[in-house]
Amino acid sequence: MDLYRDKPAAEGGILYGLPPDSNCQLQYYRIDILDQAGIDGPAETWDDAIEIARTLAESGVKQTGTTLRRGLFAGGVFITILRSYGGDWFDKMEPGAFNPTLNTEAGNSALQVLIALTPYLEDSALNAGDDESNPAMANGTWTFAPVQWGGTTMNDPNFTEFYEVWGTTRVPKGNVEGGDHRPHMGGLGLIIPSYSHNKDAAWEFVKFCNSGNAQDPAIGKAWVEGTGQPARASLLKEYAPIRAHFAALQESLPTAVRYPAIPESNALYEAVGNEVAAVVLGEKDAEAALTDMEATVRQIMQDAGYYA
Amino acid sequence: MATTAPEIGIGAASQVNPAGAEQVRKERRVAAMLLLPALLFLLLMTIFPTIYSLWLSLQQYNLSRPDLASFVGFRNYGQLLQDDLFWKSVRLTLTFSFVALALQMVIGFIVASFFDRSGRAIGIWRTLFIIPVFTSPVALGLTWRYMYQPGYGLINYLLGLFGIPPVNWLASPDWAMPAVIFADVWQWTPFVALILLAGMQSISPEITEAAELDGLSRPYYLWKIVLPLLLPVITVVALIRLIDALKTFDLIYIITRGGPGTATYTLPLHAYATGFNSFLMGQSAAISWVLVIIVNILATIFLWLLARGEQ
Repeated sequence: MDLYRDKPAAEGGILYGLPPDSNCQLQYYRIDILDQAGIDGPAETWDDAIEIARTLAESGVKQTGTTLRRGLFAGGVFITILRSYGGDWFDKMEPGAFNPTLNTEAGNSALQVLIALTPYLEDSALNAGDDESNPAMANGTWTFAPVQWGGTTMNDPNFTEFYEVWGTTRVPKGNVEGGDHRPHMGGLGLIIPSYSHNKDAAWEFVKFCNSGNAQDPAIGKAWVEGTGQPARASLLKEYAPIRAHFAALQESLPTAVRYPAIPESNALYEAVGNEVAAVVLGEKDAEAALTDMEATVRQIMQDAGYYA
Repeated sequence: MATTAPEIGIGAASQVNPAGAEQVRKERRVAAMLLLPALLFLLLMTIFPTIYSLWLSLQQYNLSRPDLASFVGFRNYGQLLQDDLFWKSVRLTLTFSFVALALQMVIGFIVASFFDRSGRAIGIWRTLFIIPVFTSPVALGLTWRYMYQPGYGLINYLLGLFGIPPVNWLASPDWAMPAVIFADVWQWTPFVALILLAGMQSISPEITEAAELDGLSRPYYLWKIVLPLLLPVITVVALIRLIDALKTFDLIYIITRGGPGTATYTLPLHAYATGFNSFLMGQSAAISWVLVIIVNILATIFLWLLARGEQ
């Protein structure tokens, strides 16, 4: 909660409510498999991630996965890598700006990472969303997933026999100056749309849900014993012994980045994700994909009146 | 020449039998009352959504910000015509539809000719064969998705028995489309076979007996006699299946979600993703209307062929 409370204020935003649940993308790796392969820990950079994927594939079985299904999934992975190289969607997100900055060095680096990673990806990764990635990790098909949404499944004996050997840490960062670990931030928030017909009632509900009681440690415990991931940093720390990925969440959230807070966000990820999928399938080269994705993003923003 | 009421007899009838005219009016009122619920249902559930979607296709309408919707004329259609992904979707839709249709017609005809005989065993086989038609496309899609899985799927297991290496059906751009076509053929061939079988069984016994007396072989009889007689039935069933195939969404969505990449990204999936992933409802409606136009053009061609065949 501390992170979610402080972050909007630090970016000049206004705090309207607090999410009861937090999440971000994490790097998942099988501790036992990496040990057997003589790999010294998870990936710190994307170069490390490619090297781990290559080493694992040398066993004769590709074991690395990420969600590269066209649209939102591939778009999400690409933007995470792009941001880790210091890039982002736009020059600035303010009136008069919103110029796409995808066809850049960071954008090219992100696509080159995916192109380098693709030969070592387990085949199903090319059309994988969460429905495919979670079973693949749970049943031992994937043993290394550098960008995967956080969740309790992989450390739960009810879902996987490998619950004791799945490790988590921050997603890799770009190996450049200004590069950082920049996962997407998620979680369950309560917001009031500007066109809400009854803002006051909505606000009362938000206050109730985000009150001290709703974030009470006792409620937090029940939340955690389900599949919840509390937003309060102190609760993440407290329950780290029973939820192995909470430590990684706590470490990752300070540099996590939210989805662009504009109505066109989904359309942008969908459009970019189509181009990324075309690149990893070899239907398009990186240069053409970057040119096309930037043009499409500009078109979406123009249609929505951002450049009027 | 102007026609007046008395000339066509309405007024005259009223003068001759006022009670009868009242009875006619009463019956018309009852008929109108009985038709009203159906008309209202049609208006609310079909006509209004159709007109509204046409209106929507002329709007810049983001579902996240409906307050910012604006009229943009044919801009959504213009953008579609310049969009490579749209044209790829059109090509994939036609490929899926015509390949699936061709396979269903050929296999359906062969199966129908096999079932076109009497006997208790044949009756049981017919009943079993028709089961896929009654299966929900979503349940069917999930079943095929699991059967196509590279690691534990039934298809690769069966291929493995013959020493054929496993294929990653749903993550390979080359195999994903054949995989969904096969699932569609599996589900709908029984429907085609059933209709063709009904057609075959309506052929006059005299014709069949004459063929037997002339000593025609079974393939020759099917090719030269049954097929020409069944042409109107074949055209109708092909039309029904083609329209259905062109707008197939559920099966493809469940099996591949349009992937890998855009290898199975047909127009219905494009319309869905644009509307419910990107929230661009105006563009989604425009894609849907293009699909409606394609379906209507093809249906018109089929109906023209049917009319020409009857002549």
